[in-house]
Amino acid sequence: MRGRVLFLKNTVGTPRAILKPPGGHRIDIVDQYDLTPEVLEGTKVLLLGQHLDEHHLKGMQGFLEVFLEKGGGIAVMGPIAQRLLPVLSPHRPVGSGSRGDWILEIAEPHPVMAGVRAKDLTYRKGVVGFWARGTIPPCADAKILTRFAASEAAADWLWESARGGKLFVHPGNDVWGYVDEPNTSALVFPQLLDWMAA
Amino acid sequence: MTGIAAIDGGMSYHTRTLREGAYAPLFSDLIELPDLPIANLTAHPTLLIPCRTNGARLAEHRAQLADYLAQGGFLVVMGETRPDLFLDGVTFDPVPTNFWWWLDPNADLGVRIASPAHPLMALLGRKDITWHVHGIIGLQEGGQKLAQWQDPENGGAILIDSSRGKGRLLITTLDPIYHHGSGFMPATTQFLDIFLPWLARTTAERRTADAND
Repeated sequence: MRGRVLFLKNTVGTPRAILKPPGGHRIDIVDQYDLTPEVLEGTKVLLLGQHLDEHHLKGMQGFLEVFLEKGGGIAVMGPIAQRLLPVLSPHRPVGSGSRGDWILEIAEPHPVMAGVRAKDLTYRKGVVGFWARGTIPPCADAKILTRFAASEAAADWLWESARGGKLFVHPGNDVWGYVDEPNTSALVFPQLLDWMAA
Repeated sequence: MTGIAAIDGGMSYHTRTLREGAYAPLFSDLIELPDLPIANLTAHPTLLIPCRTNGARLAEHRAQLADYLAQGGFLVVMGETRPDLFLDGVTFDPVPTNFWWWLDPNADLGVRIASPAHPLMALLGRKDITWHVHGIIGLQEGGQKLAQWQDPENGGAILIDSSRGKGRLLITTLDPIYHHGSGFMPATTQFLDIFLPWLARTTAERRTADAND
């Protein structure tokens, strides 16, 4: 049975892929400042997008950690500036800003990236850098899903706790913004939901 | 102390622009958005609302922001904030964003400087204000249009300077803080390199003028 997915909202509008999730998932939307441990009760997956108030999230770190340790899933998007969880470090740029710095490759195989071609992540309308331009350094026992070919720095990675908690880290624009792309980058969000909510 | 306070929405791009890097010393105070209701705004000659601050939250503090202007404050509102939700007499019409216009080397996004003699626009070139157009703004009380987007159907002002009683409102649909703080679109950093020091100088001049009144 699929678990409840919760999206924290801190914008006027809501992304279309959150309002109408792919793959038959249902996503509940909660105002970021209304997040409490009670709100997280019964939640399997928490989606943290790139437009959230990180000062507020950092103040929630204690119960986010407990949520993860108890088997919850957290997906973190964007070039975070703060250590939102003890296993997360702030984003840092990769390379010196040239296209070659941001060519991506698939690293370890995983259901989230099944069937996804690296070039579909690297290029958006021929432009490089939308998917990721930097790294959130992975923790020691992380599984690296994608990395920058030139530097081998991690782009997307995940970590699983001993009790089944799942953390997915994506250092670029929210992956739900890709669901309408005419290539395999559109697979990432539905496959992320499938894996995290399982 | 520049006298510029900024609302800090806590997003990574706010942190990287307001708290880290070259621009951080230009802000005398940062007001975290949840603390806005208890903030004494009149202590700050200038209040900056950075790009993508949640306009629905600011709408809850509409009266406080109106009071700030009425009492002589200089309110600076950046892009993607939906100012129509939190300011009186402001219209905002979104336009479909062309993220890809620059892929054609001969393309022209259509952004134009409308008031080249204005002290800010005397410092900014067209390339410094050209990255994306997200929308058009209008002020019912009028104002000086500093930059515009040329489009036969949806064109209009993208940067306006105006007086509101004793106060001043500078408002734009440009979103340089989002892009600068996210590490892409070099034109946005170029814009901030010019805009924020100009804002600090202008704030100092207003303080001097107020002291001499």
